[in-house]
Amino acid sequence: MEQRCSFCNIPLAPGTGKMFVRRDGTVLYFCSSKCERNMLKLRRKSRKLKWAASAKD
Amino acid sequence: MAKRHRPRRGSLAYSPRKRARSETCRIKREERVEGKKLQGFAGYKAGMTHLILTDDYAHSQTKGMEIAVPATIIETPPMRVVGFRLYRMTTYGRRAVKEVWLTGGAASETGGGALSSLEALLEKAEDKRVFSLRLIAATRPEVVAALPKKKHELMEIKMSDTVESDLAYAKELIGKDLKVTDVVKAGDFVDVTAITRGKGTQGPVKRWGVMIQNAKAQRSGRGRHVGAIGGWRPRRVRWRVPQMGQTGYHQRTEYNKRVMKIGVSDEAITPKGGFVRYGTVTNEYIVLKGSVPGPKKRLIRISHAIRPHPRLGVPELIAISTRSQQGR
Repeated sequence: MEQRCSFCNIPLAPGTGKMFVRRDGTVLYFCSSKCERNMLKLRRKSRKLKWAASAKD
Repeated sequence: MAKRHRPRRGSLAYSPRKRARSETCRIKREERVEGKKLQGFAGYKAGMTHLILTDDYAHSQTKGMEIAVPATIIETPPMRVVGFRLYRMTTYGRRAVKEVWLTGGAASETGGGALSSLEALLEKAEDKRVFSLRLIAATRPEVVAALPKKKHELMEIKMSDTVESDLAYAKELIGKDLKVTDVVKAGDFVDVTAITRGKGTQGPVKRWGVMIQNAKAQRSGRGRHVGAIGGWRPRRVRWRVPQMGQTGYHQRTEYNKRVMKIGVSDEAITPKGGFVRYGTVTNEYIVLKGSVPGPKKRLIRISHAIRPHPRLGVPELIAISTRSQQGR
């Protein structure tokens, strides 16, 4: 199954990226620590960011 | 004042922690792996990547599943055999008695009757078991695109059969190129020896792992030091006290690295944009599971594993990542 970054939606190459499981059981995948920080720590919305939104599909 | 008992920080096993004598590391072990004609080889560290493969460890939780495994690529251009040396075991240890060097370029030109005198010595000897032979081989950094150096590194490679068959093999090899496939094959376990990354002079916290002093002790302006370096007497600092000094650039051996793949020169292994601080792999290479001591471009010596290791077959590689290692 192809995984995609939960923040910027780019496909993850096999053997790379990070799986993050929230306390409620939601599974998130991240391609980079940049995406991870933007989503979890900075609580940004990817659709409001040019660099993340442009990578959609 | 130590309030609790705890093991000391840092191992004393490698003392003194000073720079290695030479970047061409020496394999000091006396053990030989039976059934292997040549005990080792050498190459240059190119970098790391990851493999996707089917897990074949018998008791692994992920057995039979696809897993990602970190791996190191070592570029191993052919080495040139320039001579061999006969050793005799004496009561004072192993001593070199005769050596034969290649004089001209041709395969059979050996200097000044050395070979015949070596053979005569062996002929006369009553007990041939005291003799052993080592190959003298040179690396060829000039064929490696990533390396600026051109000077060959000379090293001895142990042989491990009877002296007669070793000699016959050495005579066959002298003046010729030795390939990595002559020494190891995919699925083998090897030990790697190299000089580690040099870190220069470092304090006791990094060098020995002593604790950083906490809270009010930090206000003295010195937190990263040991509290006490010894008593009044003896009136000197003992050598076991963790102190600042040279860190890194030591010779270290790591055991039991599995050879995942041996690649020929035209197979693509270099990631997009090249290995960072290395460039392109242009020669034969081996892929080892896990990491290897030393920075990129460092000479790495591999030898057959002397410690117990699992007996596994050739690993089933599904993919080798050649994704760019620069940026996303």
